[in-house]
Amino acid sequence: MVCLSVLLTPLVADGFEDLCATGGDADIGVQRQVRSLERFRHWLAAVRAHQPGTLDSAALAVGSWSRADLNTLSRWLEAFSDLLPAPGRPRREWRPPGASPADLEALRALADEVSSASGRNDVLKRAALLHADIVIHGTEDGTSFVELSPAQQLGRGRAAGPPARINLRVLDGEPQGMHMAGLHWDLARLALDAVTPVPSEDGMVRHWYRATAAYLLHSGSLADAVVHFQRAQEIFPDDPGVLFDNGCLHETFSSPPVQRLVQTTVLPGNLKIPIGTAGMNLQRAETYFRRALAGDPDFVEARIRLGRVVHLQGRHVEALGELQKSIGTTEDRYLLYYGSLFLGDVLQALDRHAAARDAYRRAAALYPGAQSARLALAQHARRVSDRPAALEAVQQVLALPHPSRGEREDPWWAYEHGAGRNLEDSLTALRKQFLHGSAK
Amino acid sequence: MRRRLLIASLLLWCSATTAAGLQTPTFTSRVDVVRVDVLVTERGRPVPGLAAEDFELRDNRVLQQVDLVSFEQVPLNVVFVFDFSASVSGQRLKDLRRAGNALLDGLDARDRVALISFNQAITQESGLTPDLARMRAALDDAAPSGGSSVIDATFAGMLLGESDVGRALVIVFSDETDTSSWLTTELVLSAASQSDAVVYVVSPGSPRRSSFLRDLASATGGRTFDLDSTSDLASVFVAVLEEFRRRYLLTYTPRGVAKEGWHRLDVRVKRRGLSVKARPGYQAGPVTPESSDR
Repeated sequence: MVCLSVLLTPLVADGFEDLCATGGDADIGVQRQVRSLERFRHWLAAVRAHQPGTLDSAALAVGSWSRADLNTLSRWLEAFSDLLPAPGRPRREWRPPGASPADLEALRALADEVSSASGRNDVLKRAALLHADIVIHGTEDGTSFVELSPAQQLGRGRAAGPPARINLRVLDGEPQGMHMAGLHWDLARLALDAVTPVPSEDGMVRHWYRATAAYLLHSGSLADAVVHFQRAQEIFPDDPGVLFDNGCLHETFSSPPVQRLVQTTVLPGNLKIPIGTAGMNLQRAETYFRRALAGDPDFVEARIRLGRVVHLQGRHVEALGELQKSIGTTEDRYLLYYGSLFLGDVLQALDRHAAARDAYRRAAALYPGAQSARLALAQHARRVSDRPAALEAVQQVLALPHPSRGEREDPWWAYEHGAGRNLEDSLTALRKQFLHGSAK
Repeated sequence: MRRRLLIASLLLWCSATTAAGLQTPTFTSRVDVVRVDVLVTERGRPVPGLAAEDFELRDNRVLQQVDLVSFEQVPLNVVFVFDFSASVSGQRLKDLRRAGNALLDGLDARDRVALISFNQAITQESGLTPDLARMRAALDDAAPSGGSSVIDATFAGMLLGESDVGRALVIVFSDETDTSSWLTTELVLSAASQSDAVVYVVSPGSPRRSSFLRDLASATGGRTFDLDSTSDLASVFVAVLEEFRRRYLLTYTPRGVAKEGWHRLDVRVKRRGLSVKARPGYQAGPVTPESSDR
């Protein structure tokens, strides 16, 4: 399943949101009155009780909350964060919508209690882990699946909380419908924004963004990734890993399946999918990969991907240099496979056919069960009018084990996952980092 | 005629083998014969009974001497390239299996058939075989799951279809939403320009898809069927086979034209009022940047 963002005009966004049932309400458009302070206490208890990396009762409870509840929670979380004591930082006291003076006093007391018990950053990071786990390990939150009709009512007031976004669900390249984007990532980011002294100086915050980026790429949650990666870059503008993740996202946006989807999906009214052209995204990807390499010249995968996007923009000689350099500096089989495959493409474009064939063969030798390298060999042979070699390569693909026997592995199928190829390791490392004392 | 065609096919194969060894394919009038598969219709119905002298064929605008073989004389290599991604399930899957079996019923003893299924992975459920029972079992056994590599799969299907001297009919069934192919549409369309296979595309669902399969069918002289539902899929498959059997196979040895590069074909019938469908051209020799810009 892939999710892409859909851009709406504000009026349409309001109308869409009002059409969405909030957490199963039968009365569309009705904002339920929530007992906000009580709900916030429940949330805080869940945050403190949650076991990171699991879908425990705390995660299930918060995960079941409606969009309206989460919207309200976001305001209370902001107010609460401003009340948490921090050295050299004055408190900012303000009442979230619907809160009474007594509620504010209670919130202040909660902030003091939390701060003295475990420290402000601990609860904020736990909150980020909780909301991430709700998405990663559980079902989505109370979003709704609505197809717009031309006769919708427009002009209602926007609900409090994070900006409304609409995601387009896609399964096997087929649009399945639109739904309001969930709010758990927004809440998680909101919590981490309040980490002191500043989020950019906190290793766990960085690690959280990288691990969740891996998840978003791995799961095809491209819509959520856009906002998420943007925020990561704002906090860590020069971090090679964050820049790399952004590059991977734009490289995926440039891909034929995404571009075909954008070009062929018909959306109602003023809706559009805000993904630029393949060329624009390749340029952006190139910029991000170059910046990543400026910060870490030994970042092999960034260099391989840079070579590929440069090649796709027609600069084959330049691409050749990047790919040859990267292949010579890694022993990672997946990266060697990518590098060899892309090198073959570049050499073919430069009419260096014997070398191209050798590069494809090296890739095929690394993963004999992969069809992409053998297809590359077949198309190359065909291109140089070597029909027998082309047929031989295709027959090798057709002779590969049936997928039902579970023996097929093709690194190309995981290419768009980027850092998500190592998702479990990333998430495990994140939890360990948090649990073993880096929480401040 | 049949023996001459068989020799021509073998000689063409020898030419390709020579190319493999020398990497410099040549075009000599003694050994290189071009085959052009042609459909002639009148008000949508195939026209039978035409002879070689009824056709005019121009290769890069140069009129050629044409031999003709009636299609019934040539055995078929039918390659099913079927989408077994997650979107093909339930009734659609049943209709697909029924349609495959209906087409198998129309084959004769000399014909061979293969089944390539694809989701993310391309799988040969059965290689080219005259064993229809084995093919029916393969149709039943194939199970849908996962994404779609339709671009890769059609490429494999075309090459498999050419692997034998029979006439290659590739029937692609797919909703055409590719999610995981390695090959690009440009590469496969370029390969199609060098292929003898004729590709027919049957596409369920909305016709507002990318033009790849439509372009592929056009480049090979085939046709595209866009279906709102798969309830009539069996009749479509049978119609494809019947139409393919009624095509003419023109052969000629190119004269008066450059050897390598893109050859634009212009095939006409002298009798008025008839429509002709044939591949728009073919690529002889290696693909170059210039030859790929057509």
